[in-house]
Amino acid sequence: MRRIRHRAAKARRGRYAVPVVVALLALVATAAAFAASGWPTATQEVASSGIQPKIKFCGTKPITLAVEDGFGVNAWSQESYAAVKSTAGQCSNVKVIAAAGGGVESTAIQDISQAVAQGANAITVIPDFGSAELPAIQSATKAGVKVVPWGAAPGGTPGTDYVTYVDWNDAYAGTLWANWMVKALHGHGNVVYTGGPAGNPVGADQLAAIVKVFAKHPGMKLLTGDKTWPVTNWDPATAATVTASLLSQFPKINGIISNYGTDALASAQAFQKAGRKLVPIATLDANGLSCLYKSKKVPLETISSRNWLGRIAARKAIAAAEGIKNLEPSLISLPPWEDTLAGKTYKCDPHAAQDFYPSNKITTAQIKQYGSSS
Amino acid sequence: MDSPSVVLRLSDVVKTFPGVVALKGVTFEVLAGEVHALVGENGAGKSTLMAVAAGSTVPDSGTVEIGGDPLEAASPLAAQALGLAIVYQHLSILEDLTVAENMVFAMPAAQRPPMSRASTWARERLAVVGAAIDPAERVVDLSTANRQLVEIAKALALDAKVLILDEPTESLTRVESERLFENLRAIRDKGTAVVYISHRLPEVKRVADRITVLRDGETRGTFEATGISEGEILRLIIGRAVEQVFPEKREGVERAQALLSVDRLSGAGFHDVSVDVEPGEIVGLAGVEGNGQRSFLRALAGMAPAQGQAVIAGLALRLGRPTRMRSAGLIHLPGDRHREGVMLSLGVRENVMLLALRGAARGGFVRRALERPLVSRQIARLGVRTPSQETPVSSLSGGNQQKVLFARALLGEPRVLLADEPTRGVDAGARIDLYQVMRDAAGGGRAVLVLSSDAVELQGLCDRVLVFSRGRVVRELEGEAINEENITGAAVTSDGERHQGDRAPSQLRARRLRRFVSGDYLPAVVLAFLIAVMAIATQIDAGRFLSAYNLQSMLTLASTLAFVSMGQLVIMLTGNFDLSVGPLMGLVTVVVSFFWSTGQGSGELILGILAVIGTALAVGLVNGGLVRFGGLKAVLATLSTYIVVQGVALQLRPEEAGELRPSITAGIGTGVGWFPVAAIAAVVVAIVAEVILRRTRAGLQLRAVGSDETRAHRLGARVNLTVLAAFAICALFAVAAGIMLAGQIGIGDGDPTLSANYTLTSIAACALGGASIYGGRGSFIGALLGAVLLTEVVAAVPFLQIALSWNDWTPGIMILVAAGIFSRVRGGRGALLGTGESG
Repeated sequence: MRRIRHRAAKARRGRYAVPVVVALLALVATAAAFAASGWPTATQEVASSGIQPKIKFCGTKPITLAVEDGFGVNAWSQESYAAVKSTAGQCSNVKVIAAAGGGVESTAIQDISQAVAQGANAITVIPDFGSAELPAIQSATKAGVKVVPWGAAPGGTPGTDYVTYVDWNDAYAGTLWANWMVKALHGHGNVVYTGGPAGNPVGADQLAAIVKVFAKHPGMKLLTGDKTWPVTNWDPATAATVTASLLSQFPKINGIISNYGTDALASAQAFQKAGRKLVPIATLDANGLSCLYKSKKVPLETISSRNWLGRIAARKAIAAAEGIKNLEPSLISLPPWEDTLAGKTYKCDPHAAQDFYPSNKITTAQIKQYGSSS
Repeated sequence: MDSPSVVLRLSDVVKTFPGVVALKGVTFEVLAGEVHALVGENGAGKSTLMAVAAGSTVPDSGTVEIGGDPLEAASPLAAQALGLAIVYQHLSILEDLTVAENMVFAMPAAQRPPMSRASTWARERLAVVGAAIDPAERVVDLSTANRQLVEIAKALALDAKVLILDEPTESLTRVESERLFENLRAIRDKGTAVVYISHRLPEVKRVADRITVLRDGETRGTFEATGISEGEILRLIIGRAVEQVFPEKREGVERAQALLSVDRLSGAGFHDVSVDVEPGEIVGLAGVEGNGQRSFLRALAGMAPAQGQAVIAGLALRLGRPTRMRSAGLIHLPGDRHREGVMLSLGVRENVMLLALRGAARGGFVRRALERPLVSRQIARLGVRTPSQETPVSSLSGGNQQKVLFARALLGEPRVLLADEPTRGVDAGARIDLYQVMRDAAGGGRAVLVLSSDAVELQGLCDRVLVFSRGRVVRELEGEAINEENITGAAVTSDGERHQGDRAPSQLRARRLRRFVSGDYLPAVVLAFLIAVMAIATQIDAGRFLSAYNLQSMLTLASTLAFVSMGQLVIMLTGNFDLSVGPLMGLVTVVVSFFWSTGQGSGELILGILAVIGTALAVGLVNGGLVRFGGLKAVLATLSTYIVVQGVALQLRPEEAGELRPSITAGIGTGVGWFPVAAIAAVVVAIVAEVILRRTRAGLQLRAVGSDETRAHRLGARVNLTVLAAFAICALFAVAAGIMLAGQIGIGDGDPTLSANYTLTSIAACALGGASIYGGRGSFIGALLGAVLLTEVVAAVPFLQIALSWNDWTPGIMILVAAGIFSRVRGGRGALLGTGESG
C-alpha cells in the first residue's frame, strides 16, 4: 500500500531540529528588528495567515518556480499547492511548474532533479522524506537554483544547502496541547495521544513536550505511554480502528491529543459509534471536527494546519531568484486557532468539506484552481 | 554371434507405492545388440521398471547393473554415466529452450559440444533421425512429432550402451516411424542394447528381437519375437484369451437419414469438407498429422471458427462456440488428455459429472446422493479401474483416464461423439474396452467420428474412413476398402506428404521473422523504440528533457532500478519472484550508514562492503532455503523475508541517520562527463549477464530449471543448487542497487515506501523486458531497458505537467499491452488452435 500516510503535521524528520531552530530563531530575531522598517512579525503573519499584499517579491526577470511535494495527494497537499501557487500567481513573470512524489521516496527525489532539468530558477519543496531528499536539494542549489524547503525538515544547513527553511515549531505545539488538556480536565484525567506513523520525529518531538508538561501534573495520566503511541499513519480509517481498540482497552478516557485534525475527527466518531460521550480534543484544525464539537458543545483546541506557510515559502523562493531581499520570519510558533475554553470559539463552516482547513484562509476557488500538481 | 553380454540387468526389483505393489520382484535382462520390447498394460509396471533402471526411482529392493557395473545410488546422472539413455513417453524436453540448447543440455560433460558449435552439432544429430528441424527453433513452436524426433535424436547422440524408448512412435507418422526403426536396427547392429516399450503390437513384432511381457508387476516370460504370435502376446498382456480386438462392425444396414450433415465446411487448415454421418456409424478421420483432420474435428466441436453448413438431426448448427455445439449433442473428446481433457487434480466423480451436473442438482445445488449412482453406473459400464470415485484422476493410468473422459461424454447426452486419438497412450487391454465403448456409443441412434493416426485401429473399428490431405478429403474408404494400405497409401500418395527440408527462401525469411517475434529480443527492440519515442516527444513538447542535467539524473536513477531488475530477472528465470529485494536495498543503505559516515575511514569502507555482501548472501540463502527446503512458494517465502528485512532496517535506523561522507556519495555519483559511471556499469553487467545466460552451461541450467523443474532434474540439472544460487545472485544485485541508492539519499533510511516501490517496479521492468512469470524466458538487456523506460515515464510526468496518476497509468497500460502481445506471439498460436502443425 503506497498512500497510507496522510500527512498532517508536516515537519517530520527533525533530526536537525536543534541547529535549524537556532538558526531560524536568529532569523526571527532579525525579522523582529526589521519590523519597524515594514517586515511583518510572526504574530502578524499568523494573524493574516501569511497574506502580505505589501511585500514586493515578484521582480521583473522571467523565471520558473517549481512547486514540489513528496506526498502531494491528499487534502492537506491540495491546500499546500494552493497556498504556494496562488502566491506565485501574483507575479506575471513567474512560470509555475509542479510535481508530486505520491508518497514514494524515489519519485520525490527524482522530482527535484527533474525540476532543475526543466530549467527551474526557484523551487519550493515539502521534503517529506527528510534528509533523504537533501542530496537532491544540495545538487539543485549547486546548479544555481534557489530552494526553499518548508513543512518538513530536510536537515542540512540553511543558507548553504538551501535558501532557508520555513516551518512551525512542532514541540511548541505539543506544549500548547498538553497545557490546554490540563486546563480542560482540571488537572485530573486519562489522556490518549495519536502521533501518526511510528517513530516520526514530529510525533516524537510533540510527545516529549507533552510528557514534560504532564510531569508537573500528577493527576494527568498518558494512557498510551511516554515513549510510543498507537500508530495511525495519519489515515482516518486507521485512526478509527486504533481508537476503537483503545476504547475497549481503557474504560475511562477523558481526553485526546492528536497531531492531525482529520485523525482526531475519526477518533471522535469512533467514540460516538461506541456510544461513549465525546471528550475534549487538542489537535490541528479541521472543519468537520469544529462542526461536530460545536453541535455537541464539547471543549476543543486546535492549531492551524499551517498550509499558509507556503505563501511565505513562495515569496522567499521567488524573491531569492529575483535577487530581492525578503526578511519575513521563517520559523513561527503557532498559537491556538480555536480554544473554546479561552473564548476562541468553534470555526465551523457548515458549507465546507470536513477536511477543509479554515485557518489557511484559502478559498475553495483557489483550491480548485491551484490545488494540484498538474 | 557368440553369447552376447548382458548390458542391462535388473534383479529381483521390488517397488511399492502407497497402496500398490508396482513391481513384485522383477528380473529383466537386455543383451548387447538386441532390440528388446517390453510390453504390458498401463499399470503393469513397465514405466516404473524403466524408471528404476534409469535411476530416477529408488526401488525397495533389488539391483540394477548397467554394462556390468552396479548402479550404486539411484540417480539419473549416475545411470547416464554408466551408459544408459532414456526417452520418456512424456517428453523430457524443455519448451522454453531452443532445439540446440535442449540437445546440448542433455549431454553429459564428456560428450557435450561447446556452445559455439551447438547449432552445427545439433543439425548433424537431427539429420541422423531424418528430421529437418532448425536447431535455433524454440521447442514450444514444434509439433509433437518433431519434439519426439528431437528427443530421439538427443538419446541417439548419447551414444549409450543401453537406449530405452518409451512409446516413441505415439505421435510419429508412418514414414517417421520407419526411419526410427531403421535407426534402431542400425544402432543395434553396432552393439547397442535397445529397450523398446510400445502398445502397438504389430510394430513391436516388426522391430523387436525379443519380447518381455509384464503384467501386474511380474514378468510373464521373455520370447523370441519370431516365435510368438500377436494373439499370444495379447493373451499374456491382458491375462485372458481375447476372441477379437475389435467389436463387430454394423452390417447390412440400409442407408438412413443422415444424423450429422456437413456441407462444404472450411476453416483454418481445411477446405470444403462435406460428409454425411448416419446414426450407428463410426466414421474415421485419417491422414498424415497436420493435414486438416484435427482442425476439422475441432471446428465441429466449436473450438475453432469455420464457415459452411452443418446440420444435426435437421437442426442447423451455429459454429464457433463449444457450448453451443455441446448442447446440440456434439461432444468432443480431446486428444491432449492432460491439457484439455481431464482435470488432473480433481477426483473421478467430479471429472465424470462435469457435463451432467444439472441432472444431479436440485434447486441449483448438486446432490451427492444423485451423483454417486450416476457415476458408479458409468464406472461399471466402462470398466474404469479406480480405487474410489474420489481418487484423483492424475493417479489413474492413461487408459482409465480416457475411460473417465468417455464416461463424461456419455453422460453429456451426445448425438455425435468427436473422439480425437482416443487410444493414444492407452494399453492393449483398455483399448479393447474403448473400442467396445465406441461401438456401443454408436448404437441407439448416435454416431462417432474418430480421429486416429493408427491405421490398424481405423481399419478394425470404422465403418467408413475419410482420408485427409492438405486440408481436403482426398479419399473415402468403405467396407473392404478400409485397410492399412489404403489408408496410409491415400494419405501419402496424394502428394500430401510434406517435405520440410526444401523451403522457398521467402518461407525461410518468414520463419526467421516469426522466430524473432516470438523470441527473447523483440521486447528489447520495442522498448528501445519506446524509450526513444518518449524522449523525443517529451523534448519537443516541454524542451530540456534531453539536457545533460536531466539525462544524468535519469540515468542515475535508471541504473539503480536496472540493477535490482536484473537481480529480479535471475529469480524470474527460475519461475519465482523475490519480493524482498526492495527492503534489502533499504537495509543496504542502513548498513553502509554505520560504516561510511562522516569521520570514518577507508578501513570501514571495505568493512561496509563486506557487511552488505554478507547481509545479502544471508537474505538470499534464507530465501532460497525457504523455497527449496522449506517447501514454501517463493512469493510467500520472500514476503516473509520482506517483512523481516524491513523490520531489521527500521530497528537499526528508526529514523534517518548516519549521513554518508560526501566523498562517498560523490564517488557513487561520479560520471564520465554527464554519463554516470553507474550507468556504464549497468550496461556492461547486462551484456555480460546476457552472454552468460545464453552461452554458458550455468545460464542454460538456470533457464532449464525455470522452464520445467522436473524435466531439468531428470536431465541432470542441479535444481536446488541453481535456485539457491539464483537467490544469492539476486541479493547481490540488490546490494549494487542499494549502494547506488545510498549514494542518492546520502543517509541510512529504512523507509518502507522505498522498498515496496523498488520491489514492484523491478518485477514490472522484467515483465516489460519480456520475462515470463512462469520462468525460463527473459533477457537482461530487456530488464535493463524496462528499467530505463519506467524511469523515463516517471521523469516525463513533471515535464509534461500531467496528473500524477500517469505515473501509474502509463506503466500499467504498458505492462498489460506487453504481456498481452508477448503471450499472443509466443504461446497463443497452435496451443489454442491445437493444429500441431510445424510448417
